[in-house]
Amino acid sequence: MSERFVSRGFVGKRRVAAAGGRLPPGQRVVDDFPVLSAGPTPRTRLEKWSFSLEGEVEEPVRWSWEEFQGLPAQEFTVDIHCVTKWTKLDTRWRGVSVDTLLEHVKLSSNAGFVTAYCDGGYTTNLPLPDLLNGQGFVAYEYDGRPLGPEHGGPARLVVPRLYFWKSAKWVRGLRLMEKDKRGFWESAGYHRRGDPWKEERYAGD
Amino acid sequence: MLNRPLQWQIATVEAIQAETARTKTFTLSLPAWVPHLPGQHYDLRLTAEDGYQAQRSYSIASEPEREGKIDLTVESLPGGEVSGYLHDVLVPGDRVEVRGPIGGYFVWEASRGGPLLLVAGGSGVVPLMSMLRHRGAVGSSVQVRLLYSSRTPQDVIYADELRSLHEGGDGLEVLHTFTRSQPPGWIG
Repeated sequence: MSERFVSRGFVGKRRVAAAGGRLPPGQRVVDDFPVLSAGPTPRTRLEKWSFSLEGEVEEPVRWSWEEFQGLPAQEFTVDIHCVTKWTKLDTRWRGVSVDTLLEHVKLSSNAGFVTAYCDGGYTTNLPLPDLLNGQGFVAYEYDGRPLGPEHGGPARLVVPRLYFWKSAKWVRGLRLMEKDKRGFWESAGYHRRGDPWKEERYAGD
Repeated sequence: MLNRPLQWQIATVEAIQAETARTKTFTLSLPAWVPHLPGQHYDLRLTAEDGYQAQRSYSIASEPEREGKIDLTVESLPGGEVSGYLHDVLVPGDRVEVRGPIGGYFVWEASRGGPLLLVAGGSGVVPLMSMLRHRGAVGSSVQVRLLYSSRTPQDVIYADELRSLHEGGDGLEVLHTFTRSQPPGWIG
């Protein structure tokens, strides 16, 4: 747009300053924790729950809930950014990093992408590097309490560096992939990668 | 499927209509209009003099058969940064930046067939209204039942239009529930 557009009479509420550079473009800070879902909320009993790593790995691995609780976990506090334009600052989680999980498999040299798959059939695709070096977790506690089903419990992916639809709720496993394959929202017009700082909301952004 | 970037365009406000005490419909004329799928939304962006911007997503209420224009029905939220501006400042002739249409999951076209069970609460009826208007515009006879929950009868958006659709006798049924106050004699 050549001419700079200004909305007549618009000043704004400007909670941006309070976020001190932590707010990606087009986002606003919220204090609540909105719940958005494309389908019914699965309620998987812990004794039926498992988590798997499969695909481009030498030997797939699968943990029961109890085994998963035995993996080294860590607490982390991150800002989360939803593509619907809300950002929640300083969310506190506990879970197992993807780095820790990957110590239990030998990755094929072809592995470059991941499809996270979930109870309820949801999938999302991520570049593997976006999950590594402390950037991706499978979290089962939020704010000091077990993660409720409405927020993706018993366990969800948390990848704060990407829009939050990538942080798949009710996650049950990661499939290591040679090629990127669009997941649920990525097949419905949303961006393949979804970096909030580049405002990669929709396909083509 | 979208492969090219969705460009921001400057839409002109053609008309503003109050639907209820808290909701208004904004009819926007778009220079680069493209037909949407009923259920899709637009992103709307406001820019202050100093460059500060705020963006929100709003569902399209109108049917894609109406060329060149879209209706966005917006609820005014307490302290709403964008909804407050749209409700209290915007007048016909003003311009707003929008981009869309967006979203490919919560959508329906008559060609997908039915029957449909639509369930909405409050302003959640807006994208469903696009589906109902589209159904009417193409003369579809797909069976539709809309279950629509509002706080009070006065909060029903599109009340008159929904009543006439319900009474049209062509397989479209609208059922209301009220969560805060009910009309006299209400048994629903």
